[in-house]
Amino acid sequence: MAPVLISALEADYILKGIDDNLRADGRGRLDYREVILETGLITQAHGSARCRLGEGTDVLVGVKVDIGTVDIDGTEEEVATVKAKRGRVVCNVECSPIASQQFAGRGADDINNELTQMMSRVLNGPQGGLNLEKLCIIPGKACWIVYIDALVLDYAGNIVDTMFMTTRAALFNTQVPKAIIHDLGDGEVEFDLSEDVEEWERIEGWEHVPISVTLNKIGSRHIVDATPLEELTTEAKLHVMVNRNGKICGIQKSGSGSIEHSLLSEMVQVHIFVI
Amino acid sequence: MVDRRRIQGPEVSVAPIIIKSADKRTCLKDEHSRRRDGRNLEDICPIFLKTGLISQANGSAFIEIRRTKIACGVYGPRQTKIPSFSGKGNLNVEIKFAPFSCQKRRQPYRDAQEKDLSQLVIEALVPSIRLDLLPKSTIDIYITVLENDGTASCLAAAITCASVAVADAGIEMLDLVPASSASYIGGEIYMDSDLAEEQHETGYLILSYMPSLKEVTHILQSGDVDLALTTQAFEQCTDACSKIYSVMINSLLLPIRDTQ
Amino acid sequence: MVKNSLAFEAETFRKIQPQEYLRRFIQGNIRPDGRSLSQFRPTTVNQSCITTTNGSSMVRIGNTTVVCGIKAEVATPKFNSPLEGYLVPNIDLSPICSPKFKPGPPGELAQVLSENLNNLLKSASVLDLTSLCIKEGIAVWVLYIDLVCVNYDGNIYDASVIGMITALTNVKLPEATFEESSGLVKATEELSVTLKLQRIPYSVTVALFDGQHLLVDPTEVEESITSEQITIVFDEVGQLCSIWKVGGLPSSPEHLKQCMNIARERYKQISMIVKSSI
Repeated sequence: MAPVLISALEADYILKGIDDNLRADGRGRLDYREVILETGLITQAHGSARCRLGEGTDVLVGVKVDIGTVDIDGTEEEVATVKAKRGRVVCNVECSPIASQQFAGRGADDINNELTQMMSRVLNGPQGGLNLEKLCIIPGKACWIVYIDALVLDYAGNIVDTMFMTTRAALFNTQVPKAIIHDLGDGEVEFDLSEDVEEWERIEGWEHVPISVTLNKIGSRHIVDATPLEELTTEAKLHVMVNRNGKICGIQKSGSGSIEHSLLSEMVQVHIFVI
Repeated sequence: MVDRRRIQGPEVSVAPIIIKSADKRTCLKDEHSRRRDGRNLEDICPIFLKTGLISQANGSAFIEIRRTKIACGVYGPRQTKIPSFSGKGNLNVEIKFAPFSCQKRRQPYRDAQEKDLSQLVIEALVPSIRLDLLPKSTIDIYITVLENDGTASCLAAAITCASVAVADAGIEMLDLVPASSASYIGGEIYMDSDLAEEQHETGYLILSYMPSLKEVTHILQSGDVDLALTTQAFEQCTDACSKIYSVMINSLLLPIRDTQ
Repeated sequence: MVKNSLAFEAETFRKIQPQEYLRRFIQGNIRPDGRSLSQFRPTTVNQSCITTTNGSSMVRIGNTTVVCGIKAEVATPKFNSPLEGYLVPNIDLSPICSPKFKPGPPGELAQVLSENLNNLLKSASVLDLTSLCIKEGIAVWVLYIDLVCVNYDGNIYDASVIGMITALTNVKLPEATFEESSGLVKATEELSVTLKLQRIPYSVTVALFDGQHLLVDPTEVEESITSEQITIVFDEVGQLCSIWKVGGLPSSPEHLKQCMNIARERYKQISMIVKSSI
């Protein structure tokens, strides 16, 4: 079980180590731990992946696609027509209480909600990568809804990065059934789902799904892929989402500290080096 | 389940679909790159900021930027309800959008977006407040959005307004926290964009910044953006924050000048 | 010299003996905020202040501030009244307006107020609901009347009624048509249709202190000390719409008569204020 409190001495030890570019587990400031990524573990889901980071953090993501109705009301016609031709992504992140003490009880709701919102924000916008228009079956009527469920099974720091990595892998693994559209005339349209697994397709644009790099500010320096003890020493975190073209798809600060103006620019630059 | 604590309308209701006349396609800027309200791309809007409007609260502020109207009340520091010892004070923020504040009617109960925005405001304000001086206490900040003219600028306004309200409550702070926002539309940066501009944006940046300490308390960016553009937007938001900062200071000094 | 142990600050006196504190003031024919017993607080009305609504208003009575916004949506009418639309009034006393209120679902006071506003709309038939019809039996307008209290300093009901009625008078709906082919209701972009109210009621609240003193337009402090309050609602031709009395003790018919006279006078005042706000 990961600790939730840290002694002043321990914090000082970590701080000094980071100043010397040598962390407790022998890594430098910008070194990641070993990543083990598996895909296709859950047979019931349309796509799934599990990622283990170092000795601890373990995230399982399942993707399920389902047919839903298009949500068109309330907007101007111009926007409504664009929306009518799109599918959507629904995210849910849950941190298992067995992973860490901080996920037990009511505190977990806030963390779950924050992570869920962060993920939907990134995946639903134009920066999400997925071609939402390809998820449309009949414009204005039916579309695919991609449900992404992330489960944090074990915690040893750096959940956000692991979560995005796993999600990208799970979306790569996802196969969507092919919808065969029948035109009944009079503008009436119906569709069937293909039973043939061979015809199932990947969601277009999965390769543009961004991943995240979390920078932890400790003292006047920053590190990537922090362990739980390092996270406790962290004053502020900066999550930077990047896609494969090196474009920034999102920046978000979390934690209770603040970041110096100059350091922030430097931190944003660092992500490219890390990737 | 029927909620008996509220007056219930019909089970389902929808907003009607508005027929938009085709020739009135919104043009976000003219040939002199002036926006629809005459601003340049990098200009922010005038701000109306006033403290002390809620007589029952320890501190309060009201902000109006374009059509965005936000009221904020601060209660506390008061005793933490849950009897657990904490050496640091607790900050609690609740943002509520009035049901009529947006284009589409919002449900009266708290939704996931409001919870998320509340969390963002906490993260933006915590670095500025001396919570270490307030053990066992809670500061409650309640924010009501009466009208929303662009979500990103609305969140920035909420942070600015809340920070002034905290100062108005006489709570010790390191610095005020002004916040500003920018939209990325067609590879250009539109500062402090309104609702119509926001519908065309491909991303946004919200920055809250403590000018005297030169520290960023919060940053949130979304969208597919080049590093160079982000850096530029970041600089512009920092400048905007410094301008907002002087408005905040004035609003706090005004009641004192009046009494003198 | 021996210091008189009974002499303390006025603020302390107010906290430990609120009843006696108010009584002393009343004996001097004045109230803690400097008003006379029959004086109302300054009232301001600001109409159509929120553009995301179909109709809105902001009312301030002294410190009490209420914002009312009306949003129109489309729904199917009830089976037994295919022509009638819906009016759905709700008030939100959020924790921003006073430390008395807790976050979460509406508390007792908010429920009572919403119910009363609803009853007023129904029993006084303020609006002919059939005027909200778009297509008989298929589509009608629903007007969600949401009131948000920003600052709570007593007499919230009067402020809410003024807010609700003025917001209703400035409601502007789009011209809506039911499109047979698509089964959708389409509306024009410009808002041109206004509503005609059948009656324009305004309410007046008077608190009764010690069973004999009438305090008009009570503040939050006065409300919490006095046990009885009488609310009288009149319409524009001086017809009574409702009387609502809270509190256990009986009040004499004379008091009621006095209240009626106060309410009639106040009605003129309010309609002047509302008129000048347009």
